[in-house]
This record gives sequence, C-alpha cells and structure tokens, in this order.
Amino acid sequence: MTAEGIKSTLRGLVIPNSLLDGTDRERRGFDVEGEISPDAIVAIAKLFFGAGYGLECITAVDQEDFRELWYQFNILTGAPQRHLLRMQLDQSDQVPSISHIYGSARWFEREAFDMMGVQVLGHPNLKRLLLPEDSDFYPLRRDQCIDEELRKTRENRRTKRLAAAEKERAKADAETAALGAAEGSRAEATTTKAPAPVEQVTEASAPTGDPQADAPTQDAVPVVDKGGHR
Amino acid sequence: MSGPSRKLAAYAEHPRTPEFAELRFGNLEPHLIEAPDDGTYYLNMGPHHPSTHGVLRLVLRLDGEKVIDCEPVIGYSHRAHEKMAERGLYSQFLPNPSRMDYLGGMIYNVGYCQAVEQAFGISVPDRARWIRTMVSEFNRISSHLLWFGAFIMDLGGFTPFLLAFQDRENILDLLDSVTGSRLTYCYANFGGVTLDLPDDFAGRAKALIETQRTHFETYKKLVTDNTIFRSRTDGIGIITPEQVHSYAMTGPCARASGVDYDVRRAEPYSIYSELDFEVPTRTEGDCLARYLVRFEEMEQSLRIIEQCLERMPSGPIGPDRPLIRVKTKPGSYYFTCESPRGQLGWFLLADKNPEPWRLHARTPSFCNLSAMIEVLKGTMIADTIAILGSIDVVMPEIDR
Repeated sequence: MTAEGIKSTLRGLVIPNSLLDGTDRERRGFDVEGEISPDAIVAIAKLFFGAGYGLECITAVDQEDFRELWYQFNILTGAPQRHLLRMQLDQSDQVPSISHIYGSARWFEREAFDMMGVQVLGHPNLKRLLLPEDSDFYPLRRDQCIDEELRKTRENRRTKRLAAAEKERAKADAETAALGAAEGSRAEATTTKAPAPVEQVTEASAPTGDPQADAPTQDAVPVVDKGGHR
Repeated sequence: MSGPSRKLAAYAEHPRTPEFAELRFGNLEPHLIEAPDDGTYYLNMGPHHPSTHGVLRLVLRLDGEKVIDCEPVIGYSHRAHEKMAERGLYSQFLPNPSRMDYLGGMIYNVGYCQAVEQAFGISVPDRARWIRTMVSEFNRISSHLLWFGAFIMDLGGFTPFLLAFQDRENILDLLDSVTGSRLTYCYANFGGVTLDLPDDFAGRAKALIETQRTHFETYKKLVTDNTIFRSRTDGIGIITPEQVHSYAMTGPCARASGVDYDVRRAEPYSIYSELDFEVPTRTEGDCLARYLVRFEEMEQSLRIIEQCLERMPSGPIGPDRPLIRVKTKPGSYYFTCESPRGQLGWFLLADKNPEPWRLHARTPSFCNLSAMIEVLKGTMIADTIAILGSIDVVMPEIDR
C-alpha cells in the first residue's frame, strides 16, 4: 500500500480533521501526525501491520490532568515514513492492547503500565516490567516527585496554567455575552450553543472519551504549557 | 508485613498450585507459571549467569534439553534515567546517556546532543560534526570488539577474548586521549564537542587502523573459519524477517535476516550522507550471519574513520561558552541514530520550561530482546547461550 493509500484509510480512523503532514520534518522527525481515540487503535495497528510498517515506539506521557500514549509507526525496512499518533486517555487510563498484532507492543505496553499506570486491556501479561513486582507506585507520573523544591515549582506552574485557563474562559464568556447583547434575536441560539465547549473547558481535567467532544476542549485550552505538545 | 517477608510467609503456607509457581517465579507469562505435569521443568538462568552479559534473567521451560518456552525478566539495573531527565536542565542530563549503554556510550552521548540540537535549532560547526562521527565509529568498533570477545567466550573459546580486549584497549586509549574518559563519555555538548583532537591523533589513528585490519585477518583465520565455531553458529537461532517486522528489531540482528535497514543510510544524520560506506546484509538470519554482519560493519567503520581523517575540516569545535540553558521550543520531537545494536530513538516532549517534559529513549536492545520470547522456542539449551550472545544485549540500555 502506498503512503497516500495509507493516509486516506487512516483519515477515516483518526479523529476527524486531525491528520496532518508533519510540520518541520527536518527538526521534528515526523512525516504524518494525527490524533486518535482508544477505540481506533486496533484497526490502525492492523492497517499499519498489513502495510509493512513497524511499531517503532510507544511513549506514555503524563500531562497532569490526563495521560497520553504516543504511537509511532515507521517503515523499518527502507525510506522512513514516520507516523506519530497521539491518543488521549480518559480518567480510567484504559486502552486496548495491540500486542496480538505487533510483538514489540508486548513490552512497550508493559512499560507504559509499569511507568505510568496505563491499563492495557487484553494484554496477555500486564505485569511490572522494570520495577519489582510488588511495587505500588508509577514512577514516571508527574506527581511522583521526591524533591520538595521541584514539587513546589511544578505546583506553581500548574496553578498558573489553570489560572490562565480560567482567565481565558472568562474572556470567552464575556465575548459570548457581548455577542449575545449585540445580536439581539440570534442571542438565544448562540447562548444555548456556546456554553457547551465552555463547559468542556471546566472539565479539562476530566475529558470525556468522546472524540467529538474532545476536539473543542483542546482548542480552548490556552497555549501555555501543554498546548505546545500537540 | 510487606514486601519480601510477606512473600516468604505466603510461600511457606501456600498449597502447590499455579499461584505457588508464581510465587517462585514472579512476573512471568501465565502459560509459563502453570505447573507443568508432562515431565517438563523450569530452569532459571541468571540474573548473574556469565553468559547473560549483565543482569538478564531467563526463565526457561525445558523438555529434556529442548526449550519449550522462554521469558526474559529484566529491570535489575533500572536507574530511572527518564525520570532524571525530567528534573533537571537539558544540559544536566548530558552525563546520563552514556550510562544507559556503556558500550556505545559515545554514540548515546552524541545522539542525545543531536536530538536536542535538531529540536531547538542549535548549529554545530563542521569540524565538531566530523569529530563526533569519527569518535562514534571508533566507539562502534570497540563495542563490536567486546561483543566479539564475549560471544566467542560464551561458545567456549578463551583466546579471542583476550585478543579482542587488547584491540579494544588500544581504541579506548585513543578515545581517552581525545575525551579524557574511557567508558562513559560526556564528550559532546550542545553545539559541538568539549575538546579538540590532540596533535598526534591522526598518526595514532592511522596506525591503529592498519593494525586493526591485520588483526581482523587473524580473527578470520582463528575464529571465522574454525570448524567448532561454525558448527555452534551455522543454522542456529534463525530469526525470520517476519519476526524482525513484528518485534521492530533493528541493527545487525535485522540486517543478518535480510532486512536492509540502517539509520545512517535511511535517515542520514550529521555527515553520513557525505560519506562512502556500505551497509552489510545477509539473508540467513542465524548466529553466523549476525557474526559476519558485525564483522563487516567493523571494517566499514574503519573506512568511515579513514574518510573522516582525510577530510577533517579545520575551524571551531563548538560554542565559546558551554550552552547551559537551552532556549526551548514547545513541541514533540523524535531523533534517531544508529547505535551498535540498532535504532536508538530519542522522543522528546518539550514545553517552554528549561527542563524536558518527557524524554523517552527507544533503545534497540529492548525490542531485540523482546523477540527472544519467540526466537528461543524450540532451540536447545546450549544454543540459548549462543543465540543470546549473538544478539548482543546490553542490559543497562534495556533497563535504563
């Protein structure tokens, strides 16, 4: 299957309108980037496996409010065609396993569980990989921090980020209100419609699993800290 | 009661059920811990068996001498390098990468620097790039030489080990004169290298290349053509291209199975696009093929070094003052380079703060070793040691 063929099939599987050509390939190293929901990963893995792509890496990332998995598929036989797919997990941290498709996922997923507490459903042996088997913590989570000073710095940054988000939201609210006042008759339609994404911002720490609802949420969060990761 | 004492008590009281086996063996695949009732038995190999090159533990289920099932248990030298990266500046992580893979330390050190430079647009002067490539290739040869010695020793030959260590010693001396350290290098820094080459470097390096070539001839006569060595490796431990694909294996292990992939050529970084070298591949996929691929690779590395010595430009070797605080640019970045064992990848997630949000090292042996679950099935116990030696694992790199 050609790179274009992959892309058109992939477009139907990722979160709508999220599939883009990788920007700044020289610097960032990705040919294609996209966002996916946990439901789609098995179909995507099958697609890539059939097309001769290898599962290069799975990275688990803690964004403090939620956790993410970044899947990397690449042609490991010739010219690179690196796909980076970002998956945001909901509060249950659950994701279906793709270890029955890719052998390399077996340990990558165990590592994600071991380090970040990602619950991989359907994994044949989801146990600690690098840590002792009776460990009761997930070391790479951001709240695992033994350095008191660093913990304070991180808390401050987080408070600032949340405050900025709050400010942004207040601004959006004010704009909506102003819009409503200006456009008399259409105001009702706008106010009934507008609060929906605004509500989502309040629940940035508890995103729903619904990809459609997620999209406006992420756009509404101001680009302060984690906006840049995307 | 908690931890080991709780376990001991449970062990003493437990009826002999599958859970009992779990208590004895810990984190194993479920099919391994089911108490076998068919005359098969378990063998626990490692974590300090001489052939495991570090602290790898293999739990094997055997039928006579035949391996039915296998599970590598890792994590004994986990030092949380990725966690360390998150709590300091980018430059404070500089000494760590070479501790991940102590045999390819220079390549890890240079690789991390290049990952950060590429991400944040730090320019590197020409001379520094050539020096980096040259010392990396020296490092690759020294890593392969150690593998060569240890591999033959696993198979029962002691002499090549001593010869290989003498050769490796020469390379370490040479790198010592450049970098000031012998094993865990912190030579490259952001924007260049820390020290320039000493005056007598070119002469010493050329002499070393000459000697090394004659020694390779000796090794060929001593080992490659040796009947005992051939019978221990020829046709043993075949890794199929399908397994390479499924387990994302890279490096010499993949190239010995006919997968023609080398990061230096597929995604040329630094100056590799300007250099003339070949990527040796073989199609057999057995231990002998992996041996031969590594041998040819060492010769290609010598070629690269010769070109570097010939074309070494003059000029500055780095910034005037070391770059402590990197000006970051938020985003996700991935940089790969070819370590002696395969594709080393640095996944970096940066925000505007001076420390990385997340740094993930995709280490080659991690994938290569995970394939052993399949590769070792159906082999003989004596061959297990040969196969494990031939894939060349470095445990600290897997455990990180």
